[in-house]
Amino acid sequence: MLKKHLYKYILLVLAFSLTVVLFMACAGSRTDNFASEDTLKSSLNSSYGKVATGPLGRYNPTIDISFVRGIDEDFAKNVLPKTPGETIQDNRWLKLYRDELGINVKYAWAVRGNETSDVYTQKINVTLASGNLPDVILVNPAQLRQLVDSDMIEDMTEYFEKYASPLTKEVYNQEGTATLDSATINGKLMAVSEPYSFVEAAQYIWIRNDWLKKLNLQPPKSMNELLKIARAFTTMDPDGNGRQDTFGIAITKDLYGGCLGTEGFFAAYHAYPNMWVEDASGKLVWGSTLSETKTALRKLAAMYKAGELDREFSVKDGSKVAESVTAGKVGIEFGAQWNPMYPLISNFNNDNNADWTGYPLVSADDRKVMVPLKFSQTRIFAVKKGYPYPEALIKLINMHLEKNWGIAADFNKYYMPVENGGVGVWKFSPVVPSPPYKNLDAFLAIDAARKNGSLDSLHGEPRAIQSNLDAYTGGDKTKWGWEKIYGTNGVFGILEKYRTGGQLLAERFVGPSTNTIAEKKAVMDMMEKEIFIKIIMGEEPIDRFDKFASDWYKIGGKEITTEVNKWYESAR
Amino acid sequence: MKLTSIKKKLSVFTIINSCFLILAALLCIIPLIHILAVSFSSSSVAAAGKVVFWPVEFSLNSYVYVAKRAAFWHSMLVSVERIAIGGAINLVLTILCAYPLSKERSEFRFRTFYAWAFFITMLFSGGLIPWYTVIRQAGLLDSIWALVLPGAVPVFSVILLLNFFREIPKELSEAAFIDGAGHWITLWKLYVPVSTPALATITLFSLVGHWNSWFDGLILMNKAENYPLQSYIQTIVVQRSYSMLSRQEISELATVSDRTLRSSQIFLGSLPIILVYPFLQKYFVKGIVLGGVKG
Repeated sequence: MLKKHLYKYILLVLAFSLTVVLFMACAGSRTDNFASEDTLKSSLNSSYGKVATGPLGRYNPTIDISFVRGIDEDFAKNVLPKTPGETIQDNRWLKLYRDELGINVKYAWAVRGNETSDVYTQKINVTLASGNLPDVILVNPAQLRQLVDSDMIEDMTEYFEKYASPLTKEVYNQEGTATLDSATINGKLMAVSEPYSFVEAAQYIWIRNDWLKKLNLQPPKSMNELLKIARAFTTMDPDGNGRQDTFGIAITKDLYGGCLGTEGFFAAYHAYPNMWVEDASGKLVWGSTLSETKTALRKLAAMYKAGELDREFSVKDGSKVAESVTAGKVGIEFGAQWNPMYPLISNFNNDNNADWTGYPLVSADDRKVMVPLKFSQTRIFAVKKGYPYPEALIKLINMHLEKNWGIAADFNKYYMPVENGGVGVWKFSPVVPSPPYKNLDAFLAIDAARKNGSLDSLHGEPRAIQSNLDAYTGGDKTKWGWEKIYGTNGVFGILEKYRTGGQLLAERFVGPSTNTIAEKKAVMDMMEKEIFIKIIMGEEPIDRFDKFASDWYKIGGKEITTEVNKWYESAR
Repeated sequence: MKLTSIKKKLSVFTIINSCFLILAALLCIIPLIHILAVSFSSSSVAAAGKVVFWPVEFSLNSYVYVAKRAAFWHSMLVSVERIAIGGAINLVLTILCAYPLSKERSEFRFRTFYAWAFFITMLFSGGLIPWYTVIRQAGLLDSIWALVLPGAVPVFSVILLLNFFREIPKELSEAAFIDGAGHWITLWKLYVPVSTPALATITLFSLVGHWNSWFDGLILMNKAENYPLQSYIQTIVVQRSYSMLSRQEISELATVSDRTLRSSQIFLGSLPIILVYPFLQKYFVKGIVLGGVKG
């Protein structure tokens, strides 16, 4: 009996050890493979060395570079179906990079959704945590900080200096140095972002012109006039259905944003919440805590009380509020130049009379109104430490700018080819830098051509835009938004006036994220929004603002302000 | 007198109970009807939020579009492949695990130890990063195996089935052994055939589980073409937030308001499970009841 048991145990132990050995063997052979691959790579590198010099010099033999990327809805729905034969892994841009630069672009992974989507964030976090980085990684400021702290990426200072083409350097410094500053940590350029465009963030007042006409009102010249319009839109039944079911200004529970935001409202009172501004003494302060913000909040609370804001705005996000806009329940909103494309066009689709037009921001007093431009960088490219050709990233950026906006640009092939239905094939490239003023410049070119009657001489992006404007004139209603943005009364005309009138106020803090910001800012922002919303809804008296402003400094604002000013001192 | 009062009581209870159950059922079905109505409406009225339970401006456009959308059907195929392979693996492994664990300690000495080893995995997990790293090191990323192997043994189903096996009269297996059958034959020729209700239940669990899971697809697939259906749907359903100002691309903005399109894909995505459910449900009820009552 005992013998039988013993036999069983021996068998069990044998079986167990066999499994372990097998497992080890498998694992062992895997690591061996990896190791040999690595040594092969390094021996290749040492024997060939770096051959390519100059901003657009070719590598010989060809090198590999791996990226990660997001595939946004436009790319999946419009670009890929209209470019037969081209895929994410093989297309005109990657071929260009391979043929002219000797750089073979590969993707370690791709997700559906752009770089600000949840999917991308989750995937990148797993990638960072598991230490399995691709050669170039697309991150946001917080992740950049994390990579720098764990010493996982290359210092790009020298490479940018040496390899950036004159055009690249011009584009990166066109609108100030914010783009480079935001990736400069401890004096070193740790990553290369795509140029951030401040002017694109400029806000306008979007108003339904048809409602103005119906109620015999004039476009607003001052905040008082705008408030009167909002009241009229609420009480005078602008949609003519006999019911008081409309309201004045559309805002969301997020308060701030590229559309349906409140920044434009605050700006009328010279208040700039949610961004860093300079105070009288030249120090940076958080705009939300200043007394001007209180004045504007008081006005918003009065509007809410009078029913001129959606009673339920505090629970509605952007897409929910967009439904009210689409259903024709509201006639004023604050937002950026792209608003006609979303959400305003959905209103036009339902009701062709809905004539949304952009107007410049107005002031509540005789001081000129400043247009707040928030800084928010989401596309930062960092190079993995130990990757032998960090300068390849700079070369790709050089090439992308060169082919679209350089002297020998081939815009129709590499940006929005007419023969492919004008879809944005530039998305095939892993890096997509563009000049910050490109849209404004395009408008100015079109506008000048309109005045001289020389529309036929347009080329590049202005020409592609003009063809959309022509299509709208020819009756294609899907191009309505283009007319609102680039047409004769388009908002870019207003932007040019903002610019020449010195009305643009860019956020002053554009440095890398600081420790206290990373730790506390998200919670502080949440608290701030909650209190502001309560004040607007009348749940808290307006004087609650003073307590908020002093609390803000107590719960971390003091440290953040010190850190931000320390950066500001050093950057000046 | 007595009889009528009982009747009255019964009917009051029945009425309240029915009302409650009908309400619960409505809560489940109403969102689905809404999605269906939106998917059959024209996109501009849907964007204005005017559709409730009945299509407004009836339109098949979104379904025509989905029919032509290769990515959707490819993901559907991945999902079907996943439930076919994953469901089979789950079922076989559940049976193989549940059988020995259903034996008495006298027959299987380390039964308790193994049972705990299984049970602990239900309470604790290694966390996201180790999970990901293990799958990556095993070379499974980007293949169908990454979706089916990590959850190959559904412990909850094992426990369900082992309890069911225990209810089977001992005399049956003793008779089989006397007739010369070993464990293997007893399991497949005796236990499995008499356990169809329980097996149907756990099959349903694993099919629904595989069909609905989306997170692993997003994290473990390196190419968007390899997403199973629910991961694909997750990427189109999640709303973009405009609270952050960022580089906006005009052409992408134009794709935002496609609610009808999203709705039609959501509906088509849940259709297969809705169709399979009624056929498995009768076993499902039986399986749960049998497992409970006999204990």
